[in-house]
Amino acid sequence: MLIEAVRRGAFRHRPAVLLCLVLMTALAALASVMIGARHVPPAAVWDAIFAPSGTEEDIVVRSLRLPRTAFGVLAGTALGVAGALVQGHTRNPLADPGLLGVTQGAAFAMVLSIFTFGVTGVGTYIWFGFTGALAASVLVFVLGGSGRGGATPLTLALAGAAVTAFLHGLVAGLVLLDEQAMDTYRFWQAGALAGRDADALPVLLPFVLAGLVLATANASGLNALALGEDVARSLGHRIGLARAVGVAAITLLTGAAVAACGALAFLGLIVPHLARALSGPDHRWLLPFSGLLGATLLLAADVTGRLVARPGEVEVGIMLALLGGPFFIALVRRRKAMRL
Amino acid sequence: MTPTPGTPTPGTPTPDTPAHSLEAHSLEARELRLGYGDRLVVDGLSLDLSGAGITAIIGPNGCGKSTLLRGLGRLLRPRGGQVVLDGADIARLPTREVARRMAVLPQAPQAPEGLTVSDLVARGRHPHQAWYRQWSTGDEKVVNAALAKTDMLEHAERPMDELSGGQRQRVWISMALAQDTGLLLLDEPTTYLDLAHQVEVLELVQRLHSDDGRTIVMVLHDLNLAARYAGRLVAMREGAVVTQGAPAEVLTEGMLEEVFGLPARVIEDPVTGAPLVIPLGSHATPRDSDQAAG
Repeated sequence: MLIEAVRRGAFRHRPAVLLCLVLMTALAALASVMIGARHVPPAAVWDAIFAPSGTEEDIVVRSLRLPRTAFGVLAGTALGVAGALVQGHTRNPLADPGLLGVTQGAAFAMVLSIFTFGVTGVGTYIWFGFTGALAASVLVFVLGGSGRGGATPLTLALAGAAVTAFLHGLVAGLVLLDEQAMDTYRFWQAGALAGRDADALPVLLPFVLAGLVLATANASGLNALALGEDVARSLGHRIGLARAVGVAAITLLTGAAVAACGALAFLGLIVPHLARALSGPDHRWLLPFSGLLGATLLLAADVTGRLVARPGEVEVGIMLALLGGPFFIALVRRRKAMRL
Repeated sequence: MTPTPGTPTPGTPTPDTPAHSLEAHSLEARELRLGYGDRLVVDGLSLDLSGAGITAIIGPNGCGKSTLLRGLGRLLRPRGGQVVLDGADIARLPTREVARRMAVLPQAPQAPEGLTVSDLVARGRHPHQAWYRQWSTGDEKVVNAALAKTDMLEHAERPMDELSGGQRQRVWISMALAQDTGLLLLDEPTTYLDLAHQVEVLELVQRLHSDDGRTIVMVLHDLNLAARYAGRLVAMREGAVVTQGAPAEVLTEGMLEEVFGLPARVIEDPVTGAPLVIPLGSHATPRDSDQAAG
């Protein structure tokens, strides 16, 4: 009954829903700045942002909470949009942004940099992670496209699975040899917004923006591909181009997010299903809805993680799995997940 | 009352149709070679479909008729030879330009869950849009006209998955109509439909030709319906054209034996006068014993 109502009615109110999602994201960001292990009164938060005077509270807000919130918005948006893109291109509701080997590529490059160069510090290995993510995706695209039929969702998914398995083996070997790599990897794999180097933000931002622009350009192509490749081609879409733009967008968005915040690809699996229930199958709405929901959900999980184990905190990747898992099961059981 | 292989009638615009008349286009296969993987399905086929009204391609399963249609519609890249649209090699034309002249509807297309009728038909406007001009009142008008033409306007806001098979097929045809093309290629438009809905869809196809002057090429399984609704039949076997022409010339007992390996009798349809195939299976016992199957 509910699904009928959603189908018939709610899609007509998409502009209003969009506004609500923007407000929800803003609220989540606000909560992320206000709430933490240390109690900072709202007035002090305001002062810290707009009139800092170097108090301890100012430092907490400016150097910890603001970057953390910014990373949450960046990674959440990126993974939400990347998830919608990867599910749209593969027409597979179980696809997540890590499908193209991006996550394992980042993990491998990061671990390798620690092992060979003794790189320490989040700020440095983000770069290795991002480069590794791009390289793995290019490798998957080349492998998946080398067959006679070119790059199809199936060959890309298979090549992605093969590259992921291969890199996973190498990572497992390397972390056994190097204790420091092991520690960093374990922390990275859980996924966290805290302790990131704020300097990485302005450098990752252009890549995420480029990914969002490519995703926007991809929306109409994805709408056509959802009708099958033959229909898309007959409507005058260039399939190869649409696939390449999609892969580039997924790589930039996922690469930046996982390099900065760790293996949070699960977010990219669940968010598009929530967004689709609100937007219907039109990617021009689904992509922005997924981005906003991704940011909201990631920030909400992060804030919850700060509250449940005071004075310590639970990392966002763990919170996401604990909250998102049952939620996703409920979604599937109530059949609100839509066939692609 | 035999349908004649007609030249496209320029068509008087009814209130439902866009105000302009559709351009006539020429479509031709020259020495076309098509295949999948290592298998060559169509080898050196030449066929001129220009100004032919409604053409139905018939032939046994696996004879390459759908492959030929996909080749004609540039959904499949030729291994050799070319498809010529208005005098130019279709492979060299921008695909969007082709989509403004020719609409292709594959067999049994699938829509994602929750997609509404009007959203689906609106996607047919893509070849006429650009990133700086997404949706205009002109697009709206064409979409509404396309839905009116197929009698689906009242269902415009319903999701596709609530519709019956026949209604769904009419929506897909509306999407092809929204492309506003003079050429329309249909791959088995009656698949999975019961007889009443098959007739309904084919009468719609006939109107698309007689009202608007569209040139239509379709692959059709049912020989009797093909003979009734097409002005011209093209019979294929093993990737080659065996014979083509008016239904009465093509649909003969000799052709059925040669192309389909089917012993059959062909009589005149008492209603339309078109040829009517009566298959003689090996167990059929004709009423007049001297006409028994060989």
